[in-house]
Amino acid sequence: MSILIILVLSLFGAGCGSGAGDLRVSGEAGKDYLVFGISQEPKYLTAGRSNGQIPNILQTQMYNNLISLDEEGNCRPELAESWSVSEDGLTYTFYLRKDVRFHNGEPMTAEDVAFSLDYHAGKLADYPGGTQAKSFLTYYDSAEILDDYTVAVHYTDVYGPTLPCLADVIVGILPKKAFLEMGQDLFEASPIGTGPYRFVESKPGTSMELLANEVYFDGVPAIPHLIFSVCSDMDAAVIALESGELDFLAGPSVSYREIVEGSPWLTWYCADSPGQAWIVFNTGLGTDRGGSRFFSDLRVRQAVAFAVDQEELTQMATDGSGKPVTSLIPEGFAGYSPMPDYYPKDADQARSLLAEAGYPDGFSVKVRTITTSTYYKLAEVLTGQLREIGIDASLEVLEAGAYWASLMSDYDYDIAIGNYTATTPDADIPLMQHYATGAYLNYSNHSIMELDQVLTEARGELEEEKRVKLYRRAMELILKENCLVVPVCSFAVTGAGDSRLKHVEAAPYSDWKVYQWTW
Amino acid sequence: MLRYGGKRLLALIPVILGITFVIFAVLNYTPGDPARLLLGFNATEESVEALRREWKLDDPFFVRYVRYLGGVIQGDLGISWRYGVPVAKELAVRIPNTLRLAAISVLIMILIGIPMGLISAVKQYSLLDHLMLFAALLLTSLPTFWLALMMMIKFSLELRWLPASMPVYGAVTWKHWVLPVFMCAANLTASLVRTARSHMLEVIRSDFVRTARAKGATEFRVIAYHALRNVMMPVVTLVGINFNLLMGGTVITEQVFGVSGVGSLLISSVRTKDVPMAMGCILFIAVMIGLVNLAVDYFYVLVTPRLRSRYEKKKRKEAGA
Amino acid sequence: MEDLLRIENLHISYRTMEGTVYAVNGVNLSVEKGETLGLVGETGAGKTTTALSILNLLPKPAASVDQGRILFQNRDLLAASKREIRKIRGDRIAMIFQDPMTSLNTSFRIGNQVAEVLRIHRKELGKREIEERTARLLETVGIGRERWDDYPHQLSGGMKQRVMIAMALACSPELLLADEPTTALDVTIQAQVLQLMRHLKEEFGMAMMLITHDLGVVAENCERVAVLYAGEVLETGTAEEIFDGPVRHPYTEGLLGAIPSPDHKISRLSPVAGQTPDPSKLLPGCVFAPRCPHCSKRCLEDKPKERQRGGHRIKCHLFADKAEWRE
Repeated sequence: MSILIILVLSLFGAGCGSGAGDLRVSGEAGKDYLVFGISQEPKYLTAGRSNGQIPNILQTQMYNNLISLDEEGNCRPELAESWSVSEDGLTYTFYLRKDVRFHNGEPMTAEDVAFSLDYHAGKLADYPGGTQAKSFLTYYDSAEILDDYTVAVHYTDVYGPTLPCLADVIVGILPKKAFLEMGQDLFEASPIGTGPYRFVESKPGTSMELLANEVYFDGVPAIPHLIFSVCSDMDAAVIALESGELDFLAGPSVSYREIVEGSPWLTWYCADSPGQAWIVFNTGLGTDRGGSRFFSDLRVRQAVAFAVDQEELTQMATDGSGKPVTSLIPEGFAGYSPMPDYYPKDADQARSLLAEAGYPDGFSVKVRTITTSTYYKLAEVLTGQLREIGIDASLEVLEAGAYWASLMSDYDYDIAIGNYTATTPDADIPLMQHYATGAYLNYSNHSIMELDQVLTEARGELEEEKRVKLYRRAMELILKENCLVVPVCSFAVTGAGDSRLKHVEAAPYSDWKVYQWTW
Repeated sequence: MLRYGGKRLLALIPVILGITFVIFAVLNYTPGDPARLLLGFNATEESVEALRREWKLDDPFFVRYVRYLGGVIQGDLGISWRYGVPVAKELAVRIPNTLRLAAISVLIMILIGIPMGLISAVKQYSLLDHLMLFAALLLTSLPTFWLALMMMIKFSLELRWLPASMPVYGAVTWKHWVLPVFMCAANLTASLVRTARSHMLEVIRSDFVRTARAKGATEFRVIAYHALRNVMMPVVTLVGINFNLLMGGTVITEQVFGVSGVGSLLISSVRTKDVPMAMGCILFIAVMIGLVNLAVDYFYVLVTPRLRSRYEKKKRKEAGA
Repeated sequence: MEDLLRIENLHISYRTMEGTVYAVNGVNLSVEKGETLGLVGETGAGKTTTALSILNLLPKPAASVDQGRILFQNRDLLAASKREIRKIRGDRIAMIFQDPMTSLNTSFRIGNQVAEVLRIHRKELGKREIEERTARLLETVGIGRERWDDYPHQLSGGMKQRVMIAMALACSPELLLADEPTTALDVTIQAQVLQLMRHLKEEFGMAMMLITHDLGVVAENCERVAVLYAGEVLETGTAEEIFDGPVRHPYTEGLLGAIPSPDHKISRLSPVAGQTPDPSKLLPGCVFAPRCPHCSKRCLEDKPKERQRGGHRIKCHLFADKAEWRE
């Protein structure tokens, strides 16, 4: 019996260790399709309605914006050939290309641009909520159609990152006529844009098929068929990648890097993403609802900040692919400046702060997290670090729905993990979204007047230096004076694909430009 | 016998009703606002409210439940909140896949599992018996998830005999079903082998088998005719149970191999609180399980004369002479 | 009279978890044509094992026949092929078992179960004829033919045993092995079934090996008796020799003394003292010695040889010196 067991297991063992032989059939280069693996289904395919890494990938292929940003952050023409800004900085006039057509053949005109902006901003009577793109249209007032190809966009106030926001893939331009005819729901079932790929069909929960846009104004993509395949299981997806059933996989966790790099047929792509992870406290600061029993006390929060070993957390949570951060503004963003580490690791100070706050023997607390591996691992390591200073921390794992509800509306947690996924390189976006009073993503349950003022002033400030100074003040308020959160690390954006693919570049904003790729 | 079947079929209806009620209640009263879940955490209050109004989420619970039932009776399972497609349409795509996985697995169980178990029992202590027991033990002990991935690595990556997942672009062939079916069937077949074997071992030691031998019947007749009849009952029950397990339990297989089945649809619709879709999946699963249980019970009565005589009339009442 | 069945020096052992159990140790028996041999002994004496071995019905692989011959019509059944044995089972030699409740297959109709014997051994008769014969058999054993389609659960214990008898008699076998056929039945039914068996035996001219622990049954039904103890035949003789004596094996004496009699009023029964020996150990001397009131040193050391006077055979040292008792 035992001999048989050994025999069978060695059969498998032999399989696992050795590298495979010729995995891919040679005649496959020059095939006319690409199967792109994504880890979950994008909620919506209509521009603006979904936000996040996965929707970004699809929206990048299907839609265009008025302008785009290059690597240095400068604005480049896209749907708009040129533009001008008014003296008071409140009106941006765009001169559109005349040769752009939507996927249904209709030409793109200023009407469509005006409609799209109104729709995203929630200015349309039928769709008062707007889309996720609303937060990229701060101070937006209206879009005035000057002629078929000229549109003047009016803002109520000066907003520093106006242009970079318009370049964000989420503010995609939609066809007015088709959208109004079909209505939001039907449009969602067959979305239409101007982008290099057009939508063909989707199988709910399984795949989305796109086709190259033959009349794309910037050149037809080399790969005609693009199919997005939803792969819920990473292991199986990597195997499918290795066996040639997937041609590209977005966002494999760093633990697969060795396998991918070890295979002669696959290439590993990695870029620093501006996204960040933080430890958040339910502070209750300045609000009527109370915060956490423990963490409404600044000293306790600071104790945790001193107890935290960023290096270890980063290493463990991101398998070494992330970098520790000290500023809540990602590097490279407008308004960024390097910040000092206000709370370098100091276990003694942590303990004395705790004692001062009335917890000489520590206390019991649950660290809330969700099952996504980065969050989970971070929380795990954190509980260990907290125990070192006497806090009896344990994990509390929630489902995504309940978790986000507790961080955004219920505020019934003590300490948890929060994150920021970036798409537009401007400091205003993360800070306003997370730290303004009443902001939707205000995880730390706080309301600080001075902070609101600083942020509002900074967003309206056009001069670079002054902005930077203002944002430094904001950081001080958030981190040094109130310790609302403890910044941990930034992530990396990963991808793995068939080595025969050319012109593939790692995309920090997850905007894999498949339309530039060739076999 | 037909009357028995008819009665049981009718009895299924209150069971299904009860299940729908409980699930509807659970989906309704557990935390998580479906509108907000769908629109995302950055969505505005107004858009969430608008959606809630559209779905009539603020109507009282019973009103919504009865409305749903009314729809079901007329054949309308509602529109998926998440995808906007009719629930029935999506189910129509997914049900055949799940059924295929389950049906082929059951076929394997019956055609391979049962004979293996029976032969193992008849040839107890032989090499064959040891091999089969070993295989069964291996398959029940090894986690199927791991086993499936190992098979993927071996058969898809190295040997390139089988594809690793369902294709999203291109045709589906029988080869695509091999690994998923294996993953579903392996564990259950192994347990069936062991059950069949142990029951058979018991039965071939029983007195009436000895009587059959004493009559001079061939060994084959003793096993296939006398013994088999009495082994079938627990074995068939287990096959029924296994099929039911597969109804909702194919989720992991579906996720690993990319099969579009009801299991993964159910999980994702519960996660996003897409109530119509979730209810549709549960309805399907409940009906299937109900029918299978009914079939097993029916079979039970059919094969056990002691029970059957309650339901059927005597064949030759007064045979004259 | 010729022997129909002769068992010579039969040794059977069982392999168990705890070791080997010696169930039958050198049994010699014979059954003549048309006669009823009673096989008596306590539980565990080896009666059933002996009977099962005749038709090769012992549980394999646990049981093994280590030595001996079983001659039936001058053929050694132990050396016969599986096919040959199958031909004999149910046709030339039939067996009925102790517990009728479990000996019938609950899934099939009794008519079919009886007919099965004919379908196996008398295929050439054809469907109609077989059914007719089965119906008549049922009547013969006292079950109306209208019960052909009944299932075993619809019959009482006594009737089930009658079905077994019908099955056994279907092909008019020369020898019937009856293993405690009435033990599981209550006394009144017992009497009926035994009467039926006696009647049929005469009608069919069958020989019978009647296994029982009930001496009363033996007295009523058997011409000859063999007394089994711890796997050995201690005494064989006619019913008169055994019951009336005057000489008997001490064990038989003990058995008879243990039976209560309505005629004699005694305050206490006199059972045989002690317990049957451990079957996993083979004793050097006489198997009964430890319990025998006449036990001597010799009994414990030497195995007594079988001595006979006429047809009466006894295995005991007490008869060693008696002249009439020769080996």
